[in-house]
Amino acid sequence: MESQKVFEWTDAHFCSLSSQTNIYGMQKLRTEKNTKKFLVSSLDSSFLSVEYQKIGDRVTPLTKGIQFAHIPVPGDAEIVSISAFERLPPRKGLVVGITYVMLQEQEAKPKTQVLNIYSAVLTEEEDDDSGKENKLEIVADSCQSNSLTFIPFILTNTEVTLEDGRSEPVFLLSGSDFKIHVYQEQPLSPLGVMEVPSENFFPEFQDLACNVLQLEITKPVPHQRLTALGFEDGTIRLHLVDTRKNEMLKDWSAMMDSPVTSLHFFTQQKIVPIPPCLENASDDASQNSNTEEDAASLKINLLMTTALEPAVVYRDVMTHGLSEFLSLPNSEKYDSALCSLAADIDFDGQHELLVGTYGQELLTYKFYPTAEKWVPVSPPELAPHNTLQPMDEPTNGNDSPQFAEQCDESGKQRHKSDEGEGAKKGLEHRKVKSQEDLMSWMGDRNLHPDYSSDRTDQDPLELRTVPEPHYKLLWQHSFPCPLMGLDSAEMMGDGIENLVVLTTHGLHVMQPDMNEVAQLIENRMLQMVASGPDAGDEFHKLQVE
Amino acid sequence: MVERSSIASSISQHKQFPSPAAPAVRMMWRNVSFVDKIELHFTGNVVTQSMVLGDVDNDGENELVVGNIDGDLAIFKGDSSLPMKRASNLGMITCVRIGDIFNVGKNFLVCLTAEGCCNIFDIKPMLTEESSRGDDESHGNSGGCESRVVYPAYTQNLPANCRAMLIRDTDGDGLVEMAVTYSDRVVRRFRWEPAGEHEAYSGLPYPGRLHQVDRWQLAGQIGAVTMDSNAEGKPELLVSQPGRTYVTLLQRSTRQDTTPSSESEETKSPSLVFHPLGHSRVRNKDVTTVIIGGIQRGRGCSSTYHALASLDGTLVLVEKDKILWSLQVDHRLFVLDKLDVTGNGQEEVVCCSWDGQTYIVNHSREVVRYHFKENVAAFAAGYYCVPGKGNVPCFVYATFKNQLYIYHNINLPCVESASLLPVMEKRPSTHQLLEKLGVDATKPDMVQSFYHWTLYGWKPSK
Repeated sequence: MESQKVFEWTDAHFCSLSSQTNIYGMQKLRTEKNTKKFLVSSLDSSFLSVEYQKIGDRVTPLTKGIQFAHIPVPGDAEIVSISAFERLPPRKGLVVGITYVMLQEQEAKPKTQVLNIYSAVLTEEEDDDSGKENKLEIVADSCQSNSLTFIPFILTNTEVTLEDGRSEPVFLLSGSDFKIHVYQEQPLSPLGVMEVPSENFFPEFQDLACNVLQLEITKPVPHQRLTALGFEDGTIRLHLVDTRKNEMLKDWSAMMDSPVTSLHFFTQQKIVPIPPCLENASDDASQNSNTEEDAASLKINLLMTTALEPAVVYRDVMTHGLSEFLSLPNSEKYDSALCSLAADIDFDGQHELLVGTYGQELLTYKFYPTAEKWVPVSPPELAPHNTLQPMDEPTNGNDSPQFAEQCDESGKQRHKSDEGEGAKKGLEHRKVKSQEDLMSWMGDRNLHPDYSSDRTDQDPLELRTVPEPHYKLLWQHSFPCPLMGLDSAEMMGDGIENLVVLTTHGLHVMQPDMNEVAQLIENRMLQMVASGPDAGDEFHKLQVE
Repeated sequence: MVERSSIASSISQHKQFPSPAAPAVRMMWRNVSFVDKIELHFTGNVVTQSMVLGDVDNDGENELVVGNIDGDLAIFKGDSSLPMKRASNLGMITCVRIGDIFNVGKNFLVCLTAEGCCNIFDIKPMLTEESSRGDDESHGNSGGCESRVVYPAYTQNLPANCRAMLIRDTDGDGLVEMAVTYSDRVVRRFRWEPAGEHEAYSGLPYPGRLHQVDRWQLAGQIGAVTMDSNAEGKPELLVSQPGRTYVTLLQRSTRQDTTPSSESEETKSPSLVFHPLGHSRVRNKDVTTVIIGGIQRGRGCSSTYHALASLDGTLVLVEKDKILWSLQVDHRLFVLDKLDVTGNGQEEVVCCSWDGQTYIVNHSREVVRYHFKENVAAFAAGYYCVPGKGNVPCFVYATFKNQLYIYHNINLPCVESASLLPVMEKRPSTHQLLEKLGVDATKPDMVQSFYHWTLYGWKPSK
């Protein structure tokens, strides 16, 4: 194993906004050079696109102000949410959606809310391969305005399967009328984008009892859709849908005490395709053989942050629904957590979990399947700890006993689908709690394995690696403003995925120290060469160098 | 949308942040944000020359000394918001500098006022927290704030209206001098002369007086005074002149080598060397200019650069009368300093504008900006001792709202926008390794996807 190294990520670039933004104010887009750029909105109706351009072998940040047509002047309206997708081939072009509310200056004036949809209108001569239809400046010029009868919340997009089997991207907009509205492009109709009844595609969007603040969709297997809905009243709902038959297969729900602020599906292991140049190298192929461990790390987990409680990871939601969870310790200590992300920030192929808080802190958690603990030598009731069943172990990180305790004592059933297990968990928790007390009582001496032998008057203890999956804080970084959004994307075209942090007053593009990363790559290349088929004298020669 | 109310438009005019202009490239420079700061309260107007970072109490840890035009002087140490020491009723403080003015091998605090009063303080290191608390308790009412007040160890009246000051060994004789510039376009150089045994300076810990060694009359208003080394490696005294020019002041002790010391001849011999630089190209010939010299070019490199900045937003880097590059910004640059922000041994030029835009520029003209979102009364770059971290590079801003901000976590890995491909390119073994692994190094796309997989998809073979 490589020694665990924490990379210090710093600002590669900071782009200041003209006024503050919100949690729906960032959208990732593709550039012509196949890197990523970001479109950011601020409340005062201004939009910025942030990307990197290559000049020679140097990269420099490029910030453009985008003037979208039919957006009221600053002060008249506030931008709520933005989203964008690219049409699927054979059609092409970028489609951007922006929602805003007109501010009520006079009482008499009715409050209006608008969804504007932008896409390029090109004449036949212009319709070449120049990629004009993806240029934001051109897209921003042609607008289709839809007035809304509800206050808009999150605007996002996904693909739906049409009757003829084709896929088609649609906009999803959550509204204050407790509905999620679906907007589909009508290529043949002059109306452009039209609202279609949501039950046509989304049986899971029926019977919503509250405002949907967060909406996350993933496709675990073909023809299935996993939808997570986070509500203002703290409800979280998870649905598994068969997209061909358009029917719900399974659903789960749970209840928290505060609004759901972010939802993210992720797998423990980062899935990276092998580059073509390495495909035929035999040893590399063997690395990807699916061991059991790998299979476990490819299970879909759901990360959720709420306004007041610690962030929670629901593990392997396809199997366990919302019943298996771990909490991220102390993630509620920095004001409300508003955004979250799963990204690999220490280059070990595993996703770390990032939580951005209103308290201006970015918290990064790393997953550990086991914990080193002082346990009494083989008391019978602890035997299950020693059998390797990490996935079925209901407990617990350092903080989660507390969580479970709240769960029991509040009398409120947080995890409805978890009814039978509640009592069991309580028992489990007490056991763990007693262990923890023991640990805190022992304090620093925990570090000395010899210590257990001194305690002959009580049960003997020994340091053991017990399978106890938990998350631990890996890295923490402060920002000058509250955090509103998190994303990661390769912006510079150099192989490193930059961390993108949206705060109320700007967009931070972050990167680790390049020399440290270069050293890491060099070490790994040396190891690859060493383990390669024709490793030999040349490798040693290189090592000497 | 048609009936846009007048209220709304007036609101938009009074917005704190200007709206971005029509679709246009806003800027290409890298920006960063700094977070970790120490916030201090200090009432009164501060001018840039009256704020300095240095080890004033000779304990190896740097402090911040700041004086205002109402005569209050405060020394801040560590992250405490209360001054470690303070003095008041000194006059209109215009210059505060730290140096071994008495030539006894330790730092003193020298404070000049516009009235011409020179106060020199001998600051004793503060007792450790516990013992000072013990003192407070034992002495009862005499403890606390009283013990924080310091009084000058030496006071002398000098010519009035000083604007900038430098305490350094200006002529290379091993003794520290004090160079002071005045608003009547005069520069004077003073040296401490210890009193002989027969003279009676009874009671003073450091008997003696400041004695004027040199006096230069210049043509234009002097923006700043600095030092650099000349072609032979000898120290030179430089002052900036309007229109982005500067003047080398030839000092008496160095002039004496070549000219006879008779007074009549000496007045004829040139005492100034004017460097016009790109003066003919400067649009405003009277624009206020500041200068900083002795910018380190790297470890083990003896020669140095100097830089000039003017209020019209131009920054130039100069080596031996030659402009290496110039940089134009649309902000009013009024303070120039140098600091090794990247920790690579090269000192970056740091320049601050009235509205808080701070530019960090390296020797190859790469810029990184930080926007301190307030108007700046005074700015300093240097080292400050933060508890647990020792002396770290920092920026200090004094605002017009009676606040001082010390940003102490400002280290950057590099000034330019770094990406992985050029960094890997520079490593000697990269090409060989890529070749061995069958990656075509001439195709950036291929290399990029290979690096991406190496970072995120690679697993050590079992």
